Amino acid sequence: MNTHNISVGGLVVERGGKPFATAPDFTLEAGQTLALTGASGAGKSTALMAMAGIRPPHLGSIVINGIDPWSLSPSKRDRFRGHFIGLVFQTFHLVDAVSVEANLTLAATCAGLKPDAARIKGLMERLGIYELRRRLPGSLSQGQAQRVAVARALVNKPAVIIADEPTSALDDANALGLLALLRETAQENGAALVLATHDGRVTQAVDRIVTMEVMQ
Amino acid sequence: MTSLTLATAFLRRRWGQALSAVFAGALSIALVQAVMIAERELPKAAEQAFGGVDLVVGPKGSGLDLVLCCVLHVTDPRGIMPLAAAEEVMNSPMIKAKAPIALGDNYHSVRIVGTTPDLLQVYKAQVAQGQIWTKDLQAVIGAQAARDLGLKVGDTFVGSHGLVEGGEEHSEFPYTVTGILAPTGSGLDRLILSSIQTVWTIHHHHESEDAEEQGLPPPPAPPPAATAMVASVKSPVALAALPRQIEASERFSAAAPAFEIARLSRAVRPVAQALVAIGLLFALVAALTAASVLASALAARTRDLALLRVLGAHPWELALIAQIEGLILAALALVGGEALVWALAPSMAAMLAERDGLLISVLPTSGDILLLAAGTLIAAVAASLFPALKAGNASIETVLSP
Repeated sequence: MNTHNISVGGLVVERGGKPFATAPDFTLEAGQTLALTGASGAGKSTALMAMAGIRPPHLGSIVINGIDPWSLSPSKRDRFRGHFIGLVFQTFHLVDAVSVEANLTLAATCAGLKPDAARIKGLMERLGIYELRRRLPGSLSQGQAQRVAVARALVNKPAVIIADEPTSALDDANALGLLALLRETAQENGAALVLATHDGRVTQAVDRIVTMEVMQ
Repeated sequence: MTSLTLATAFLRRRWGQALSAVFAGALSIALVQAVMIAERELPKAAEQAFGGVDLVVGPKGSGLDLVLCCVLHVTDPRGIMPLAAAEEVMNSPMIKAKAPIALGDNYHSVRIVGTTPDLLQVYKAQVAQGQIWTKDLQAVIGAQAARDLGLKVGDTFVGSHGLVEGGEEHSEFPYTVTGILAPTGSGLDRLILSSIQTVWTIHHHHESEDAEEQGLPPPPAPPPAATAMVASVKSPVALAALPRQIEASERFSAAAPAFEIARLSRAVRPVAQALVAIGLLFALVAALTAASVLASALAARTRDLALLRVLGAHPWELALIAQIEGLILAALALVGGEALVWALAPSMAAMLAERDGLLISVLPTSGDILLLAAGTLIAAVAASLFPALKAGNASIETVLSP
């Protein structure tokens, strides 16, 4: 049985129902980082969606913590994602009706897990958002919201953290700060880190780089 | 974090939308409640308007005319009848109480009715202030008439000829108010009562004056007559037997108000049904509007709910949150609607009593509230079903698009 954090093989993503781009095979262990690069529109986000169990691949295998999420029923796949995959989006997608702390708690309850208050507190302290715990996401700065999104992705001790263009809207200082944060927290939590990016600052900071190829 | 706290948080976050849904729902519920109350109370009010009058006997003619003229007091009399013969025909052990009615004068369009104290027994009416008349030219005023005319015990007034204002005043015969009746919700509340002898005296005097003006000798006093006799009976059997028995005579007609009004109602039933249907349609449109506002308030939550799916929530958990939101909104609308009804009901009841003399209960019964709560619950579940299903099946990919 494959016990790698994530293993991707022969991945072909589709657009409009037709095969569109391929991703090189890769395998990541805990703490390893990978950048998925390619030109704009090369299918990086689509490939991430396939790895996250959100959009089915055209072909190929994706195995996370020994399980292919696409072999599961939709509701079980949602639970699996909640438990084993931490997602960080470019636009954060925090639940704006509830507080920062509740956003972190929700990550556990939605995944069917009992929230670990000590871990949540620890993550908030580690990411410097403990003081903001009672605030609503709408009142946070972009940097603060980003840290909340990272914390949320880590709540359930995921096998993989998948981040889509996390630095595209950031200046150098913030981009490097976020990258360092993602790497460190992934390592601390035993997670592999996959980043889709076309940002050179990111590619310099990861263990491996793979490039999407558009099919002719 | 439970589904309930999450649903509450979502509602708080979009409180403006939630408030409009609650407001629309509350208005609809109040409207539906009003239709329910009207459906239940209006037939009771019509029955109440008869007071205790089970039977009315008058000169040969239409039974419905007799009821409209001498029980509800809304039309003019068709003639008079000899009192002795009428009393004879109504001399039955099946009669519980009976009283004559003599019409002819008014005070500011309020009818002055010559009768006997037995009329109060027929109507089961009671004197609230003062006492019943004991002499001629003493009057007892119905509750609504006293209020409308501003009359109180000890006041005096002068009646005028005819049933509406503007007739010749009988200034030689001022009445003194000796009593005010307690409200009954019947036609009696809008009458002025006096002894039948008073009415006869005034009318004989009026006829004598007319004769004098024409240079004729004064006419002899006519035999005692009345416009009608009203009675209450001892049993429903009497109500079936007596009118037939009296109708068999050539001189009198008899009518049971309940039967006559039921007959009239049957004739106008299509109109009444159309009015009820319009009322219900209006309520239904209002309910649908509220349901649609609720649905749109919940639809706005689709992104929030789908986001929870990204985090791993099961579709049924999202559906549950949407349903809880719907139920919270519906419960608030129910409380708001009922509060509106209970706040407006006392003034509505007072207005109906004052303006129309209708003593009806406009407060919802516990049965009404339970029925409405059940209806609201079903409407809320139905209205939130679509957003709930939509949330459960929302495309995560669409939600994640920047």
